[in-house]
Amino acid sequence: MATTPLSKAAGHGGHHEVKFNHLFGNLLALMALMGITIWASYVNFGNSTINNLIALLIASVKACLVIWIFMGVKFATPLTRLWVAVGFIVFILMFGILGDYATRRFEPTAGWELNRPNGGGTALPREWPPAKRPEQGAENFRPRL
Amino acid sequence: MAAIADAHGHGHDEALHHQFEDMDQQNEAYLVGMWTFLVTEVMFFGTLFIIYTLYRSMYQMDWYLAHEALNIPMGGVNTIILLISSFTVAVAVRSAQRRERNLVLWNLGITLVCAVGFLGIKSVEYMEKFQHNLYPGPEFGRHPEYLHGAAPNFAQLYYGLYFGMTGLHAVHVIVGIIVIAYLWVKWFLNAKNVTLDYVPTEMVGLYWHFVDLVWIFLFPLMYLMPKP
Repeated sequence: MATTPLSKAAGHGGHHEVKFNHLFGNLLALMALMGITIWASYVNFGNSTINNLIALLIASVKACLVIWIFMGVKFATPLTRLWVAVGFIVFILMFGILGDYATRRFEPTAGWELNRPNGGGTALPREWPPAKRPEQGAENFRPRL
Repeated sequence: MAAIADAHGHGHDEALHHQFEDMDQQNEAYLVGMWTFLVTEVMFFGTLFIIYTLYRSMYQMDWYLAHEALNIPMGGVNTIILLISSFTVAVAVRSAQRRERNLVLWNLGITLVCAVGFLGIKSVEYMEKFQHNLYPGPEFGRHPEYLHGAAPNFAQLYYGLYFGMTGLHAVHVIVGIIVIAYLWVKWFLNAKNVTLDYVPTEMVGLYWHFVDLVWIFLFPLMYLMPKP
């Protein structure tokens, strides 16, 4: 044991040596997926949302291949894997911020009009509902059941 | 502590720092630390991707028209270059584990050439956009034929994010070049802290893979928009 070189002791000594063919195969897979991405972006599926979903799906698969093989998470300790997973889960959760934009009206701004049911678009702050005045009647402040 | 490390029989204590029990613990601490940094980077780019998602969903048609000015072959070649450089860095890390100094030097060298090539192609693209007045600012859209019929306001928003996101990515590439060049010199000079311990090489590799990771998303989102 004392004479075993570190590089030979797989799983012991903190690292696992990756096979060269493994890395090269991963490169070929990434190249092929890139080709499919370019091809799929030109195909008419009838709805561009499908193109977008395919592009993002392929990009996610490529990202997983890079993280899993190239970045060596496949050979990492459980703690490292947890760290990586939590990071990307929080990244996905962060997109919940978009819910704020989806549920509020946009303030109409000259030059940024869009023919949209929710009042058009703008890069500027959103519109607040007008404040109710007390003289309109105190019952307006109570929730209607 | 050194006695404890010796008890594990690695015969490898030169790389082991005194606050760690053994190489396993030290390497895990290094990796978790590096990933913590990378996760903050993911959040950093993530906010930009959220801004992109919001405005692209609002101005789909204009963004599609504006994006037609981008050069897909150049973007594609840059993608291939980054994928190859990611591969060579992975091979360099493998060679560092095997302590094959020449292979490390060659693979890091190829990575450096790829990184510089990426920036070269990117700057050619940027020059073209600058000549066509496609950078955000008062001069934007002075040549309307390059907007391909997109409303100038919405197109400017697109190019603001295009230059913002690819520019931030390019800054990361520049930092990568500096760090990889430093690592190359260390290996060239046979510095013990990189030749006895493969982890510094692995850390630089992880950073470079992250740069590749960002581009994997930037390329389809910026260059390959489907017609809405």
